Amino acid sequence: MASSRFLISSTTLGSSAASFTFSSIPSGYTDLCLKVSARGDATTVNYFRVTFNGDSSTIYSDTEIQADGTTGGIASGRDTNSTRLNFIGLESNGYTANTFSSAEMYFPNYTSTTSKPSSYFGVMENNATTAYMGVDAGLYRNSIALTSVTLTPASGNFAASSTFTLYGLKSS
Amino acid sequence: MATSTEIAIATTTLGSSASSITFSSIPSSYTDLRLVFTYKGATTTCYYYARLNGTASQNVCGQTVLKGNGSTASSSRLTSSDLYFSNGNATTTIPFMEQVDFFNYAGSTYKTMLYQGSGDQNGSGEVRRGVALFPSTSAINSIAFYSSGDDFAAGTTMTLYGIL
Repeated sequence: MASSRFLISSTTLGSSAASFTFSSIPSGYTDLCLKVSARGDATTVNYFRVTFNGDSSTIYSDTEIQADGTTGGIASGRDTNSTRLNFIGLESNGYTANTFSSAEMYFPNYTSTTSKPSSYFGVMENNATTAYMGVDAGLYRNSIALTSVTLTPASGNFAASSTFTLYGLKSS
Repeated sequence: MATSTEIAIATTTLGSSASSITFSSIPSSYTDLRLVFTYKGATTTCYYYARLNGTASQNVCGQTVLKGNGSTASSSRLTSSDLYFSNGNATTTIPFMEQVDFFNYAGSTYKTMLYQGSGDQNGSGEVRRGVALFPSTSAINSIAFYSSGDDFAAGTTMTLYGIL
């Protein structure tokens, strides 16, 4: 049986990096699935910032649920007309050493001629008093195909050993 | 060579608006199913419900959902209901995306489904995550989606994957 999920590329950082980009994404798939295991070197609560095709115009938006493990520690918020998608859940260097967050982002119909919705689920667990989980709906209001995806920490850099993996999925 | 574990069973892209989309004769040879789709309303906002195995009315299902609307996070339940999954209101211009996992769909126990709905609309919209129960010991052999409020617009795409 022919497979529908194909590995496009996977990279583990040997040293810290200010951002990571999947570039020259081939157009021969239906959807993209991005999986991340990452840690930031900043000490504050951190976010993944996502842009496409090097585009930093204000055509990004997202709606989120975030939870921090405390009583009442759940909330919903949104970004509107933003220059990037903003997803909570990047493990911070202020938390337990050697812990990395896990996240999955899904981009359906990434070559379509309509706006691009996306799905995000990210978690960090460090057996400490604070950890975050984020669930997001993202939107990139552009009708062009996605040819690159760039992830940037909201603060600081990605730490060494952070891993970024991109899969392509074919519907037929 | 490693065995392929995620296989596209069928895909549908609507060439014109339609009130339903059905996957039938689903083979029982996989472990789980995953459905991924994006949809818009044909002329106005559209949401949907699903029915399994061709049953005309299925007010037997239960669901628990976590929802965020950009200002409030909330949770709710449905019991003795049709399957609404994320049931997000898609507009005519911005697609709403859904992913539904059907675990052990061919097994002889009740069927549990995990769903993820993402429908940001730049200043409105929502994100939903939830679980649904179809209390049947029969294998799932068909999945039908029915639009409500409006037809599914042309360009609505649904793909069913089998996972080994």
